[in-house]
Amino acid sequence: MGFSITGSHLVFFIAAVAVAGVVAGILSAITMNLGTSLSEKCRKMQEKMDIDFKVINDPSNIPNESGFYEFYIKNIGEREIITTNETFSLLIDGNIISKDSYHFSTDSILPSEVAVLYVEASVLTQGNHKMKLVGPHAVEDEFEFEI
Amino acid sequence: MGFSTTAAVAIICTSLLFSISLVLTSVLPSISDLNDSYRLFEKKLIERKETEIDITNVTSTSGTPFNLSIEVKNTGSVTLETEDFTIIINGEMHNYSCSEPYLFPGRLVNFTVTGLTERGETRIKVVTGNGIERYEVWSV
Repeated sequence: MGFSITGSHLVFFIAAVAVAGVVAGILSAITMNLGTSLSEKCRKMQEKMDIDFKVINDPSNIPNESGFYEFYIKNIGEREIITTNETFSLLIDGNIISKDSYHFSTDSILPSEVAVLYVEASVLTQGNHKMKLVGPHAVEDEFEFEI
Repeated sequence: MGFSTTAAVAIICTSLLFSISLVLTSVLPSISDLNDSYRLFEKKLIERKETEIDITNVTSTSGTPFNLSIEVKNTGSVTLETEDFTIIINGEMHNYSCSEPYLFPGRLVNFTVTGLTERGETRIKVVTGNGIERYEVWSV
């Protein structure tokens, strides 16, 4: 009888420790997951706030060199912007332009610097157009111009 | 039974302390960085609102090619770095030189663009480092 009481206490103890261990493990895992997600979200928001650019062309006078229209993209943010066809999407008059039809003069632009966006002349017809340039973290700028 | 409860509570409390320390060490620095970025963003917006420039005079040298001197006045309340400016003449971006590194509020500076060949009506656009722009059409 004495042994059975000690034995049942031991079983209770092991069960209590096991349940507490599982609860503690789940709590730690959830906290770690939440912490990582929050840190990542904060980092992305921080990057989004630091990135800003603007198309600064003269809207009625877009340079055309060797079959490409040139658009000047000025980095007016606080962070270097990677300028590739992967980081930037181009829409003209609401239509997405194929990544083969445009490229940049440099791979990145530092704050206050200007990069040239070359757009194939065949993409643009005579008349007024609206360009939407979408950069990293969906930061965008719109620009109305005439050809 | 009493000891089992104590052990279980001790384990859960340790885990809680671990979780709290994890939040303090990983999330708080990120929130602090985000706060710094927000302050910078706010400052940038205010600076942009308070930045204003005016093209007050444009002169050119004689002959061809010629140099164009663009006089710009800071009519806002923010000091601007002249090397951050961009100058577009008749749609094309040009390199320039400027005698002053900073354009203080209320002051004037001259930007000189060299090697121009086309005379007549000239569209000039001056853009500051933070994207504020000013257009003028001058006959040179």
